[in-house]
Order: sequence, then C-alpha cells, then structure tokens
Amino acid sequence: MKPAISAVYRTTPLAGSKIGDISRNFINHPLFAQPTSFLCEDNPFRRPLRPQDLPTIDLTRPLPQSEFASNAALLGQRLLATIYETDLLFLPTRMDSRRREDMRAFYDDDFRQSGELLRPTLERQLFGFLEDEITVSGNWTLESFRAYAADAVAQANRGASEVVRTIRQARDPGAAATEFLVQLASDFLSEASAMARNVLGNYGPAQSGLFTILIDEYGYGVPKQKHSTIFEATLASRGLDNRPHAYWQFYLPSSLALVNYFHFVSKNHNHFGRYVGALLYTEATLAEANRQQSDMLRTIFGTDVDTLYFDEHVQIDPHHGKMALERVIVPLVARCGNGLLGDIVRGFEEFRLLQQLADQDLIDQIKFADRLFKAPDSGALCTTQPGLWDGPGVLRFDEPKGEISVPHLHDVDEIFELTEGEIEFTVGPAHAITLKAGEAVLIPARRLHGTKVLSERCRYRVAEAVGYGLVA
Amino acid sequence: MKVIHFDSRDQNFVTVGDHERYFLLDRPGHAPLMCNDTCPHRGGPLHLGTSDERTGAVTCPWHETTYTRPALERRSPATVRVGTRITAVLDIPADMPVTLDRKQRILANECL
Repeated sequence: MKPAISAVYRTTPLAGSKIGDISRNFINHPLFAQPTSFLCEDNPFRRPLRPQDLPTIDLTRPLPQSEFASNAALLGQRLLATIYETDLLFLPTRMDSRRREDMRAFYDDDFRQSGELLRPTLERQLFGFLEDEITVSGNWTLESFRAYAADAVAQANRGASEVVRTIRQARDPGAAATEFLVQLASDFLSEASAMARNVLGNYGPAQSGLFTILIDEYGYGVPKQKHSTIFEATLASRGLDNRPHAYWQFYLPSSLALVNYFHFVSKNHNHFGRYVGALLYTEATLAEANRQQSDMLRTIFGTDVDTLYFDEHVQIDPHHGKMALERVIVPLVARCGNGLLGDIVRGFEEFRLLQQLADQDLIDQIKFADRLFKAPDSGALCTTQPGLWDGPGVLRFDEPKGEISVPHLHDVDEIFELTEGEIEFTVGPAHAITLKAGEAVLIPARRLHGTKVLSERCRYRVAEAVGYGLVA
Repeated sequence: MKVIHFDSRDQNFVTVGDHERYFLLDRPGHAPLMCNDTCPHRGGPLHLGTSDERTGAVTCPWHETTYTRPALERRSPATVRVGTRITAVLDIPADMPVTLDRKQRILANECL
C-alpha cells in the first residue's frame, strides 16, 4: 500500500500497543457517544458509533475483501470518515451553545492529532485488501491505457444497474429508493471535497485541468448550482433531512468506503496517480448510472421528486470523463512518465472494485429492509426451535425507555426475540417495525440494524442462528 | 490495440497469428505478467524456462539467457489482474483474432 521508500528515508511505524492506546482514547471521545435519536439532526460533529465494539476488533489487522462489509469495517469506516472530515468545514444551519461546543471539540487540535495518528492504521485495515486483489504489470503506454480505459468504461456502461433493478422490483419501491438516497447523502452532501484536496500546490497544466472539474462540482460559485445544493433539493423533495450526516448512523460500511477511498488517495499525495485513475472511472461511468437512477426515481415518485442532481450529471459527466483523461491524466503522464500509469490503472480498478462491492452491499440491505414486514413471523420459529435459547452464546438485555442501539451489524446470522415490552427495530429511515413481547426478527449476517426501546422497560434476547437453516 | 480478458483459472496462454505468443507468468511475490513467450535471443519458449522466485528473472531453456523482471516487463503487454480476472492490452489491431488456451504446465511458474 505504501510506495517504496529507501531505507534511509523510512520512518518507524507506531507500535501496535501505541495504536491500542490511541484508539481507546479516541473512540471514547464524547462526539462518538450514545445518541438519543437515530437522526443526528443539524449536528455534523456528533458521530455516534459503538465504542463497546472496539475490544473485539483489531484495528491493526487488514480486513480481507470478504470482510469489506463487516462490523469491524463499519467501525473503522466511521472512524476514518470522521478523521478525514475534520479537514472539511461544516456549519450547522443553526448554531447554539451545544453545537458550538461540539464544533470546538471536532476541530480541536488534540482530537485531530489522535485521529491523524490512527489514520494510516485504519487505511491499512480498510483498504489493504486492494493490494492483494489488484496487480498491475507490463509495459503501459498512454496508447494502451486509452484502449484499456475505453474498453472498461464501455463494459461498465453496458446493461441495467442491479441496484436500480432491485429498487424497482422491491415490494415497496418508494421506501427502497429512499434508502438509496440516504446512502448517497454520505457522499453527495459534501461532494468533491476530496477532489479539492488535490487542486492546491504546483504541478503544471493537470492542476488547471482538475480545477476546471472542481469548478463545475462547486457550481461556479453559484450556491444553487453547487452539486451538493442540488442534491439537498432532491432530499427535500422526498421530505428527507438534507443537513450533512443527519443519517450518519444508517450509512453502510460500503457507502462510507466509497467516500473514504477518495479521501484516502487524496489526503496523502503519494497516491495522486491512484486518485486520478479513480476519478476517471467515476466520471466516465456516472452519467449512465445517473440516467438510470433518474429514470427510476421519476417512475417511482412521479413529479414528487427533484431529479436535477442526476440529470445534471447525465449532462456534465461525459465532459468530466474526457477532461479527466485529456486535461488531467495526459499532462500528468507527460510530466511524470509512463511509470505513473501503473498507479492510475490501480486507482481505476480499485474504485471499480469498491463500487461493485458497495452495490452488492446496498442490494443486500435493500432486500433485507424490503422483507422486514415479515419479521414478526419469525416469532413462530422460536417456539419450533427451543434449543435456540440454550447455551452460553445467548445474550440477554434489559433496557430502559428511549435506549438506542446505534445501528450496527453482526458477522453471523442472529435471531432477536423480544420477551418483554416494545421496541422499534429499524434497518433504515424508511424501514422500521415495532416488535412486541413474543415477536422476533431474523437478522442476516452483515445487515445493518438498530433498536429503540418504546416501553418503560424492555427485555430481549439474541442468539446466533447459524445451523438452524433459518431464512430471514 | 486489442483488449483481452480471461480468467487465470481457465486460461494462461495467448497466441496471436503464427508467431506471437504470451504466457501468464505467475510467481509468488510478483504481479502476474502476460510475458512475451519468445526469447529475443533465438526465439526460445520462455514458458518452458526457469524463473528465480526472489528476483522474478526468467531463464530461456535453449541458451540459458536470463531476463530480469524489468526487462520482461518492457517486452510484455500492459496487464492488470483483479482477483483471478486478467485484462491485457495487446499492441495489435482490435479486429485481429487471438487464441486463448490453457497449457497444462508453465514450467516458468514452477519452483526450482
């Protein structure tokens, strides 16, 4: 993952024990603390996660591709997104004393220093698998790169999007499309912030090429034209909260990974070749994806949705694809030589792979959410499988009214049964059910879910459902 | 330029026309490479040669000429591997036919 550095320039990395101390200190910061709501309303500094999961997770272990959407990945991606975003400026729409205090804490030098110490470890944990999955070799020239990129983009733009197909075929397409928009909010409400990291400095004509793309993303200085503003209008048209990270707790690890990847290859400029490769892939393929998404949204919501965000990208991204190639990559290769093409190809393929993995994670989540209405039926399974609740692996909880379990996921199938009281079981802003005593829900491995206690008191139990042949 | 795709579990050898051949050189510690099979010395089949696991160099079976990894890279088409999927860009017209095969043994991929 790290570019080769001769021994004389090498810096000794932090020892694992130091990382443990720093991560424990960092994760226990009040900004990550237990929330009172699933929504982080107008407070982009509050980033609830589950500090209690840290003892079970080794941040120094690179996660294999098979754990891309694991709970360890979710914790790591939440931490990494927070660390990167302390470089960006967020302001609540309404500032009060609590938000001001949170803001001071978010941008506090000591908090940021701890995050910066953790950042390389988290990047290795979360993106290290890309090094194993992708290799680049042979004699790359601009001519071979052009042929390769044209072929890859044509492949990507062929056929119907599986995400769009899944949403269209859902029992409740409107709710499924809402979950889709919520995931996009993780990126689009601060769109192109990672790109902005790359326009400073001095690196010749490519710098101006990238700056022209950035100008488009930021609407030429006109607030209404800024892409993030246009997406705010999309969210508002569906009655969704359009303030940054209102839905922080519902972001899938894969959604955060897409945002974080661009920060990862932009924060450290040793990765600038990878950045422009990933930029080319996304700019050259997004127009077709957005065309299908816009069409889907209009089919589902009729005129009750603002699709300008998607329509704008259908228009502008073919230009951005050409600009990324001709005005960024070509001058960069002229300046740095063909050796840079290996990094550019790597970035192109890395983001393509991440996008494929993220699409699958979102499809699985939408399918899980869409059949949640059947969940209370799972209660019958508990009576036919009495052995479920025997053994040391069963966890029992007793929680007061209002208690929230921050959305998270498990690495194995689980069954969750309410034994007393009432609880809201939610897997996304558009998908929640109320469970009463005796009702249960099957939670497939790696599906995001959270709970909120509705009654004065609530008791529930959770057991692994592996080996019972249960289908959620 | 012609872009080809194949799965390294199914194929490992590419033939273009009568004389141009490439094999998938795949040694631990080195990125898989669509290696030009023709020895530049007298045309020997490099896939039947031996390779140095540490350096990645390949030695031709005919006259024992050794090619360093950078020398092999310079003579090999642009290649990228994602998992087991291989994409290579051959410097031939896009409509020129190529044949993809699986050789049972690529000696250059075996341990010495």
